[in-house]
Amino acid sequence: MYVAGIDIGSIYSKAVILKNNQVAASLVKRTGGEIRTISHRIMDEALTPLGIQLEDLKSIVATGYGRISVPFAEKQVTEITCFGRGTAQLFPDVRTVIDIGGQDSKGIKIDERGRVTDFVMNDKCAAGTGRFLEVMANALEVNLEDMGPLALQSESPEEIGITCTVFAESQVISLVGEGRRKVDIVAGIHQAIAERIYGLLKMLKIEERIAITGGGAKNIGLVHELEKRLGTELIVPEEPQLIGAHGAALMAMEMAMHRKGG
Amino acid sequence: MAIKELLNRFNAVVTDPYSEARSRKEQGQKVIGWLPTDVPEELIHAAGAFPVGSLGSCSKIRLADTHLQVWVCSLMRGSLEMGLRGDLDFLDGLIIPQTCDTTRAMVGIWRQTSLIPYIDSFMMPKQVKRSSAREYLIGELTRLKSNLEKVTGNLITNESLGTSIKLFNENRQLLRRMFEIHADHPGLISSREVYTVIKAAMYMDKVKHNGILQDLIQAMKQKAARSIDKSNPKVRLVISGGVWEPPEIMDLIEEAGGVVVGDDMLTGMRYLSPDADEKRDPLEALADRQLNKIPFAGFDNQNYERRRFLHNLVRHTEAAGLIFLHLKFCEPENYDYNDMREALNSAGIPNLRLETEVGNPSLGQIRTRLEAFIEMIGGDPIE
Amino acid sequence: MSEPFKTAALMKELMAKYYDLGEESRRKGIPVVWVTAVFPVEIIYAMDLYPYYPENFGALASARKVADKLSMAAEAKGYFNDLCGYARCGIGDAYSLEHPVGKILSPDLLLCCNTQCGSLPKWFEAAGRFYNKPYFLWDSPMIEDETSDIKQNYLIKQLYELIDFLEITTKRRFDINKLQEVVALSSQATALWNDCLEMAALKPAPFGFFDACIHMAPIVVWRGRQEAVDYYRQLKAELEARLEKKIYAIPNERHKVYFDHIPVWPRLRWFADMFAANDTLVAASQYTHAWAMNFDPARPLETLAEHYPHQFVNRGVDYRLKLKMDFMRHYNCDGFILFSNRSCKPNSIGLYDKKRMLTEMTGLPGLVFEGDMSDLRFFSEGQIKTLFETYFEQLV
Repeated sequence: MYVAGIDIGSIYSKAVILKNNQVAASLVKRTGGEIRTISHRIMDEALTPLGIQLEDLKSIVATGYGRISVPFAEKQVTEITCFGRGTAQLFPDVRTVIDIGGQDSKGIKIDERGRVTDFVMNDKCAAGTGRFLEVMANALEVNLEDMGPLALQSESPEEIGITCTVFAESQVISLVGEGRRKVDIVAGIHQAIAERIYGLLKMLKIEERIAITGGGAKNIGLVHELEKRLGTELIVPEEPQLIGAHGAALMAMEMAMHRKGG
Repeated sequence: MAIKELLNRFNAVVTDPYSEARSRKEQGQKVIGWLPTDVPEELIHAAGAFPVGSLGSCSKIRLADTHLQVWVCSLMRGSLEMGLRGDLDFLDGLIIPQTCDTTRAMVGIWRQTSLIPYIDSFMMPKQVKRSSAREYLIGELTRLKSNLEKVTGNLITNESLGTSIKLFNENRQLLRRMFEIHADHPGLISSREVYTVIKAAMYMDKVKHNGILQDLIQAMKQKAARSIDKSNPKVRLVISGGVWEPPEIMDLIEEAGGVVVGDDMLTGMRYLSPDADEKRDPLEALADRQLNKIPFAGFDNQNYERRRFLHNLVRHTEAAGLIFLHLKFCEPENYDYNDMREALNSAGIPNLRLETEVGNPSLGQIRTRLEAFIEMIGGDPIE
Repeated sequence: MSEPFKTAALMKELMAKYYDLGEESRRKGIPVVWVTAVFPVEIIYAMDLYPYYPENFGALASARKVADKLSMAAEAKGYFNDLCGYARCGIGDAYSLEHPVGKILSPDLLLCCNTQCGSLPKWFEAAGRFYNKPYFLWDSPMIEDETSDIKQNYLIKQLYELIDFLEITTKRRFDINKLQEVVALSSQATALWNDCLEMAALKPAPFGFFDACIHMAPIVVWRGRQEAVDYYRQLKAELEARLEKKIYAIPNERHKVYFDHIPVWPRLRWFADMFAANDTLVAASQYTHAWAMNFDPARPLETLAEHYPHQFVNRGVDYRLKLKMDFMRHYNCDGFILFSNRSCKPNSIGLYDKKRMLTEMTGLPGLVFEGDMSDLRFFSEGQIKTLFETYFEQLV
C-alpha cells in the first residue's frame, strides 16, 4: 500500500512516499510558481521511478504553508503536527523539536507518540528564520550554503542586535561599510538568530532530547550556536527538510489503515 | 423570518456601519461617536443624540502614519485613519476613553487633525476597589453629562437617563440570551455571526436592534428545538483580548474546527455586561456598572481577578482551550499575558496567543497556529 | 559633558549609602517600598520606610548597556520587547539567574503613581504578583484641559487611603508633623536642583542637560532627606566657582538646544560628545526639570497632590507645547530635539505633530529621532548620526 505526504513550504516543497511504513521515495524541490502546478510536478517526479501514479496512492496528506492549495490531498494537517509525528517516528526519545523553516521557526513539544503537547512560533517578523538568513546572505554577497561554515571560522563575532529584518540589514550594511571582517559579521548574524530562536524556545518547558528539523538544520553554524545555548547536543536528522512530509505521510498511512480497519 | 435573513440585516449594518448615523444626522439629530471601550452610551442617548462606535476597522493605512509611530496599535491607528480620511466628519462629537498610554495621546492628535467640534476624554478610574474610585467616577460622569448637554443643547434628566438605561439594559440582556443559546447549541449560527450581532449593536438604533434580536432569538430557539443531533464536533474555545479583528479571524477559528463559547473582549462580553441598576440614581447606577465590569488589562487587576476570571470562564463554558487575541503593541495585554498564561497552564488549560492587527487580513501564519492548536487539543486529527 | 566635578565623589558616596541603606533595611526588617520616580516619596520617608526605585534600576542597567540582556530574560517569559525598557530590565532581572548590575531589591510593598505612564502600574502589578506583595495605585487621571476639584479631591482622598494602607501593612503610625518636615527638606532640595538647572541659561553655561542626567540621581532617591539638600548646595557652590574660573559645560558654546525628555542612556556620552563637537549645549529638558518642584510644606498632603500628578506627561497637548516653548524661550534655545522613545509612549506619541507646531510657532529648527532609552537593539547609530549631522548644519 502506497501513501504520500507533501509539504509545501515557502521556499522548498517536499514529498515522501511510504510503502508499508517504509520510505519508498522522497524529493525536495524549490517552491516556485503556482502551488497546484508544483504539487503535481513534485508528485509526478517522486512517483515515476516507482512506476505508479497518483491514483495508486491510498491516501495523501498535505502540510506546510501551501497545504490548502494542494488539489489532490485528502486532508490538510499543519506542519507543527506533522513535524511532531515525523520526528517521533525517527527518534522516539525526542521531546522537543526545533523547526527552522523558510518563513517560520517553531518550537514543538511532543509526547512519546509524537502528539503535540505545546508549541511556539515566531511572530510575523522574519528575524530568526531561513528567509532572514537569505536576506543577510544577499546583503553580504555570500552563498546561503556557505553562511554556516563561514560562521564557524570567526573568533570574534560582531554584536548584532536583531529585532527585525530591516533593522538588522541596515546594521549589517553599516558594519560592511566600516570594513569589518565578513566572517565576524556572519558569525554575529548566526548568534543573533540563535538568540532569537532560543528566546522563543524558552517560552516552552524544554525537555531533552532535542531535535532540529527544517532547512535551518542544515546550517552547521546555527546548529552549533543553538547547542551552545541549550547546553546539549541536537539531533540532526539526515534529511531534516523531509521530516514534515514524512510526518504527513505517516498520517496518510494511519488514515488509510483506519479506513481499512473501520 | 429565517435566521439567515435576520443575520443578513445585522451583516448589512456591519458592512456599512455609519448609514444609520448619517441618516440620523440628516434628520437633524446630533451624532456622538466613541472609541472602545466603556464609554457610557446611555448618557449620549439620554441627551437626545445618537451614539455610534468607531472600531477602527479600516485597512490600507496611509494618512495616520504621518501622526503615529509604527509601534502604535492598529486599533487607534485605524480609527485615526478614518478620521483623517473624513469618514467620520459627520460626527458632532467623539469620546475617547482613557485606557492606556496610546489613548492618552490620542485626544490631542484628534483635536489637531479633525473637524469634529467636540472631542473629549472619558477618564475612568484605574483602580476599582477603593471607595474613592466610585466617588470620582460619579464626578467624571457628571462632567461628561454636562458636556454632552452643552453639545446637544438638551438637558439630561434623571427620567431621560433612566429610560435610556432601561433600553440599553434590554439590549444587553437580549445579547446575553443570544450568546447563551449559541453556547448551548453551537452551530445554530456561526461564531462570526454571534459577534457580528454584538458589533451591530454598536452602530444601530437600540430599539431596532432589540426588535430584530428578539426575532433572532426566537428563530434560534426554534431551530435548536428542531435539531435532533445535539452532538457538535467543534472544539469549544474561549477568546480573550481586546477586539476580534480582523473579522476573518472568526472564520479561521471555525474552519480549523473550533467554536467560540465565551470571551472577555471589549467587543464581546465586556460590552454586554453587567446591567445598570434601574432602581438607583442613574449616574450612580452607571458608575457601579463600570466598576463591576469583567476584568480588563487596562485597569488595575492586582487581586488576580482576571486570572481567576479566565480560569472560571473556561470551566464554566466547558471550553477545551483559550485563545488570546492580542493586538500587536497592546501594552496592557502584553503585561498581563505571562501571568494569565501561567495561571492557565497550571490549571491544565491549553492556550494559544495570536497577535492580530485591525485591518490586516493576512492571516496565513495565524491559520497554521490555530489549526495546530486545535489539532493539539481536539484529539488526533485522523480519528 | 563637563570635566569631572568635585561633587562626583560625594555623589558616589551618597549613592553607595543609599544602596547600603536598602540592604540594611532588609536586614532590620524595615519595609522596602517600591515607588515610582514621580511619587510622593515624602510620605515614605516620613514613616521611616525605605523607598526603592525600580526605574532607577532600569536606567542603571540601560546606562551599563545590559538592557538587552536583561530584557531577553523577560522576553523568554512572554514580556515582549515592545514593552517599556525599564520594565523589561526589572522583570528580566527578577527571572534572570545573572545580575549584571546587582540584583533588583525585592519589595515588601509596591506603590505606584500613574501620572508618568500606564506601563509603571502594569509592571508593578506584575511584580506584585511575582513577589506576592501588596500593591497600591495612586491613580492620577489625565488632565486633558484643566484640572478640577473632582480630580483634586480624588487625589487627596487617595492619599488618605494610601496612609491607611501603609499604617495597616507596616504597623507604623503616620505623623503629619513629620511629613511637614520631610516636605520642607524636599522643597529645599528641589529648589537647589532648580538653581543648578537654571545655570544652563547662562551663555556660556557651566552646566547642561547631560550633566544634569548624571547629577539627578540624588534628587530622585534622596529627595525628602538632608542628604539631597547637602548635595545640591555643594553642587551649586561648585558651579558658581566654575563660573568664576570660566570652566564651561562644553568648550566652545555657540548654540543652545532644548531636548525633550529622557536621554538614550546607553549612548549618553556618545550624544554628549556629538553635541559638544558641534558647539551645541543641550540646555534643558522637561525630564530633568520633573524634580524641580516647589512644595508648600504648610499644606503637606495638598501640595503633594498638586505637584506630582500634574506633571507634563499627564497633560494635554496645549500645556505640553507651552511648556516646551517656555523652556526654549527661558534658555534661549536655537532649536529643539524631540526623542521618539519607543519605551515611553505617553511622551512620544504625538511628537510628529508637536514638531510641526513648535516649528510653526517658534520658527526654530526641530528634529525628531527614533530610538529607545534603554535598548540598543532599537538604535540605529549610523542613521542617527546622519540625522544629527544634517540638523547641526541647519543650526549654523
